[in-house]
Parts: sequence; structure tokens; C-alpha cells
Amino acid sequence: MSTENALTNKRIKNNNNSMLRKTFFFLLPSLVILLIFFIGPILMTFLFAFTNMSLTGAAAQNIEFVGFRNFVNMFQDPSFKSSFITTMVFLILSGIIGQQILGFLLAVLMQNKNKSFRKFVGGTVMAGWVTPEIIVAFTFVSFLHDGGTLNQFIGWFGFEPVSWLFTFPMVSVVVANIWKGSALSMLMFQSALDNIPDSVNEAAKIDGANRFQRMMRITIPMIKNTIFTNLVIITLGTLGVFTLIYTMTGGGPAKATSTLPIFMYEQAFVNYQLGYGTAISLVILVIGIVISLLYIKLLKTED
Amino acid sequence: MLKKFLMISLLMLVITGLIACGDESDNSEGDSAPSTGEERVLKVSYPTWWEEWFFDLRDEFEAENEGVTVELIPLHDDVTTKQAMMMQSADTSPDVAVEDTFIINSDVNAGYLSPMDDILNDWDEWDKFEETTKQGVTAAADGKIYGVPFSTDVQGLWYNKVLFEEAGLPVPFEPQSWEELLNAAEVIKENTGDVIPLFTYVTKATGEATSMRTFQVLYSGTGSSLYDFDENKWVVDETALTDTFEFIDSVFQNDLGPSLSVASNSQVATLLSEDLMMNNKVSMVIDGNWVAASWREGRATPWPEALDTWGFTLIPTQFGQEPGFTSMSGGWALSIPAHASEKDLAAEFIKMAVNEQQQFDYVRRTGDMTVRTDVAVKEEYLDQPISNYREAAEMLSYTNFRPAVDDYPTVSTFIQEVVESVASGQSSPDQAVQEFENGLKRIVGEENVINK
Repeated sequence: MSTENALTNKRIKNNNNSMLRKTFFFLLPSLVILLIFFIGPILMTFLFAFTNMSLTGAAAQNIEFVGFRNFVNMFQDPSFKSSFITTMVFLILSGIIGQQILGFLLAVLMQNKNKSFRKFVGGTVMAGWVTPEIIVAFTFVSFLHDGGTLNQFIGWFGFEPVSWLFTFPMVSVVVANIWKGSALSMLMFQSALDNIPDSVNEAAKIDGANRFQRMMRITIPMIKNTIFTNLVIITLGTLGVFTLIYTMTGGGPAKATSTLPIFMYEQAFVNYQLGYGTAISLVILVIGIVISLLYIKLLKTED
Repeated sequence: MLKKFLMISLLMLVITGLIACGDESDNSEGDSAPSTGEERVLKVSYPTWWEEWFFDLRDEFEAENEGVTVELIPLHDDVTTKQAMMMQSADTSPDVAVEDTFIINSDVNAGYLSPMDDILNDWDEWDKFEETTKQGVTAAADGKIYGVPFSTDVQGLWYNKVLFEEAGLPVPFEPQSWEELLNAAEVIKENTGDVIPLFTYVTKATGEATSMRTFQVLYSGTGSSLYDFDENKWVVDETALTDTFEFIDSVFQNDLGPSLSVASNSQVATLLSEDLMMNNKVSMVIDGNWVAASWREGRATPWPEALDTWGFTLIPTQFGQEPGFTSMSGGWALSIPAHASEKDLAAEFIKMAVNEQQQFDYVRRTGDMTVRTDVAVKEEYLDQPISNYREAAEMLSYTNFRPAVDDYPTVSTFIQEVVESVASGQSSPDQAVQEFENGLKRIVGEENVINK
């Protein structure tokens, strides 16, 4: 009896071990890729952020550790401060308010509508999401530039053309980013809303809860985890937006749309200060982590 | 069943894709590896705006040298950045690189370039190159020569005679101070229709042009300089800076300049020569002598009568003080990277590219000024249709050069930033001076800056 038990136990253990080996084996390719393309570069970022590495000049030949000089310079640089503020404005307007709320509204309004309507609206919103970023950028440039579609359109009503990208640069890139990104939020919220059992809503209805109360007391608490996940994804995505802004405005006019990724690019590849640019990218990473932690604390999610 | 079929076809597609990719990289490796047999490959990187010229150079060099293939590596934009990255390793380095003279000194200090003294001392044509352009390719650190110049230019004031006459201004226009320039712009604004009175480059999008063709042209007119070569320190001259920024400020805050959407177009140089200047939409432009070249026969927009409309004149110093006028000169050179694998061939290629015939061909195509004394005196050169080499030669006697020191490229992009913030109204001239001083100290270190 006992020997048999021990044997089964051993077999299970063996099974577990071979299971572990198999898991490891199948995970290996992605682990290797992660190591080469993700963890390696991150470690190098930490290293180079503390050097004076440069693309040209004497510092390109003799890389030296300079301690915290890059960071001291950065925090004294008024361009860093203005880029930080620009990034936050862009993040809050286009990411948190724009994509999140618009995506949510779309999902709510599409609930229980007929199928072809859902397909049409969903498809239209998805168009922005599936289009590559560079193409979205060029589309918006030709939509907004001096002789572009929008100016032609308002011209029919007798309005003077406006240089949208120069008069309202931030609004322009925010609208473009909302157009591009709302589909993801919409999809996430759609599936979350579909997962709320009808019985809960019906019970609340019978108890006399109105639409608004049901939204605040039932729907939102029940999709809290989705809100959190979505917030984190959108925040990290928006913090890294480069192509869209760089193509549409180049960070200008002056510094009006110069977010941190653009500031980083300019320092590293236009000013040839690779070490400084790397330090800025490290700060962007830290900002992303801090904001994510903040969300966890604010929303107190369980997972 | 259908699903399975789709999956399999997808898999096949991915696999063929991967194999195709593998093939491609194998091929290119075969191409670039130093060949053991008679086939030799010379890799030449070049900015695409000189494509036709480099195509011709390739054809001629291949015809003259049996068994040599010239592999051209086109650089569409960010030329200096991309080239610097390529020159970092022997695997990617070209054998011939095109260097803007402002970056040569930095690239030498970075160890990217190899000295050419031995090659040039044995070359009987080297003494035919202008002395000033030779200085531009000599490194400050070791006094060695790191490139062969092939082009230079001067900056002047282009003015539209038709619009000037329409506005009642004198033709020929010979301004003696900045004030006369601004007054003329005011008169144009009041008396002609929808015209840009005075175009200058003022945004980051126009890059080095903003720093050199606007800021440094004006700043040199105050009589001050950005760098003190006796003390080896950068200079903050508050009066000169304030006056320069005030000029830019008054142009843009009084609507005498282009709108920012025009000024921020990185292709604005083409827009100017092929549209705005041809269609009388702009009355004055501070720019290089080569602008007229785009109206020559064989270019996109030939305009044989261009110079009846457009005059080219000297830019005055601030109050007309000595020497009365000012200009800035840039230049380009062909260099051999330190990691080049075919240095002998590269030297031969460079010598051919700047020989008398090629140099004449080059200036005829581009409108740049020649760097060779034998070409400069040719009647054919001076009397080319739609050119102003006689005026340009006069400007050359007033010209200034950019400080060829290590930090210049970084300081220059910073200057572009400050100029843009003045032109867009984000900073007042006084704020801009403060920004300039703080930024300069941050970039080069406080100990390397002196106040004047």
C-alpha cells in the first residue's frame, strides 16, 4: 500500500519535473528574445545614462563615466521641464481623457444596438487602430495643412483657412492620437461590459435604480480591473508616442509639442549627445513606472 | 478543415518569408565582403540631393578602373548623424564620406576620419585649391588635413526688382544697415499685396540654415564672434546677442517675415526657388548664392530671365560699421573614414571627383562656388547663364566661417531652438539672451564661457 503510494507520488513528481522541463523548453525561444532585445538594452540604458557617450567629437572616442551629470543637466534644462509638462498634457488629454473616455462611451452606446450598426461603428473606429502610425501621421498632415481637406471644407462656408498645425499644434496631435487609439479602449470595454451578468442589472432595476445609479454603482465597480489595465496600457503607449508627433509637427512650433520622446531624440541624434539622450529615456521609463504604481494605489485593484 | 488549410498556408508564407530574408542578407554580405579576386568594391555614401552628380562619378570611375564596382549608399536626411553611425565600425563604414566642413573637426576628434596629408602632398593639383577652403578641412588638434573640399558658398540678400519698383524702392538696392533692410521690408508690406517682405530661415526644421544663414550672418554683422580662439572659450556678448534677436523679433512680430507654417517646412528652400520666388510672392530672401541655379536649363523649373527679376547684393553690417558688409561661408569635403577598407581606391575616387572638369561640372549643376583657383578665373565659370559668381567673389572677401570646434554642432542646434522661440514669439529678445547664456553654459561647461 505505502510503497504503491510512494511510487505514485514519485511518478507525479517526475511528471511535474518533466512538465517543468517541457515548459522551460517551450518558453526558451521567447526568453532568449526577451533577454536579447529587452533586458539587455535596459541594462545598457542604465549603464550609458551615466556616461558622456557622444556620436561625434572627442567623447565619441573616449567614453567616460560622468556620475549624475546628465541628470543634473537635465533637471536644470528648461527644455526638460517644458517637455515634461507637454508630455503630461498630451498624456492626460489624448490618453486618459480622450482614448479612455471616448472608448468607454463608444462601448456603452454600442451595447444592445443592432448588429450591423455595431459592425459599422466598430469597423470605422478600428480603422484608426489598424492603420500604421506613420500613415496616420501623414493622413492628419494632409487633413490639417494649409491647403488641406479641413481648410477646403471650412472654405465652402466662407471661413478663412487656418494653419491648424501651427495655431493649434497640441490640439492637432491630441486629436490624431485619440483617433488612432480609441479602438483599443473600445474593444476592452466592450468585452468587459459583455461580461456583466444581466441578472445584476435587472435586480438593480427592480430595486428602482436609475440608469446613472446603475452605471456608477454596478457597471463601473464591476469593470474596475479593465479600467486599470486599460489605463496602464494607454499611459505607457502614450508616453512613448514619437512617430505621430515627430511627423506632424516635429515637436514644434518652438517647443509646443515637444514631448519627452522627441526631446530625447533631439538630444541623442540631432545634438549627438547619446549619453544624455539615454539618461532622458531612463527618466521616461521611471515616469511610466511611477504612474503605474499610482494607478494601483488609486484603484486598489486586487490583481 | 478550412481553418487547418489556412493555418498551413500561413505557416508556409512565414517560412518562405524567412528564407527569402535569409537569402537577401547572404547576398548583401557577399557584396560587401572585401573580395579576394580582382573584383574590388568602393563604397561611397552621399546625400541624395547630389544624386545625379554621384551617378556620373560612379560611371566615370568604373569606366576608368577595370574590375572596380562603386557601391553608392544614399543618405536621404540626417546625413551627418547617419554617416557618423556608419563610420563607427569597419563593417558599416563607407570608403568615401561626404563631410559638411562644420562637422569635420568633431569627426576627427571622434577618430572617424583618416588624415590625407601623404596623399595630397604627392598630388600636383593640391596647390590649385583656395587657401581658405583648405583651412576648413584642417583639424585644429593636429594640423593635419582630413578632406578635399569640393564646394563653398556665400550668403547674400536676394531682392525682387519688380516688387521693389512697384513699391517705389530704389533699384539696384544697396542697403547700408539693418535699419534700411527693415525699412524696405515695411515699405514692401504697405505697398504690395500678399507678399512675404523678408524671408529668413528661423526654425529647427530648417536646421543648420537657421543657425548659419540667419543667426550667424546677422551676428557677424554686429562685429562680435561666437568663439574666442585666443582664449579657446565660447563668448556671450549680451549687446550683440540682444541686437541680433531684436532684428529677428522685429521681422516676425511686425509680420515682415514668412508665416511659421512656411518657415517650418523642411523643404522650404525648394518652395522658395520653385514657387515663392518665381511667382513674386516674396520680395527679399537672405540665402546662398546658389539659389539661382535651380532656374538653369535642365532643372525642374528653368527660368532664363530670372536675374532680370532677382538681384543679389551684399548684406550690410548692423550700422554699416567696418568692413561695411558681412557674409558666412559653408563648405563640403570628401573624406576617407578611418575604418575604410579601400583607402587607395578612395583617394583615387576623390582626386577624380574634384579634378578641373568635374569641379566645373559640379558648380554648373549646383550653383555652388568653386574651390579651385583654376576654375575660378575661367570665363566659362564667371559668365555662366543665371549665375552671379562675380558678385559672389566680392562677397567672399567679407565672409566669415563657423567656429570649427568640438561643441559647435550641439551649440548650433541650440541656436536654432532659441531663434525659433524668438521668431514664434515664445521668448522676447532679452529672454532669448538669457536662454542662450544658460544653454551655452550647460552644453560646454561654465568654465568654457566668457562674458563680453
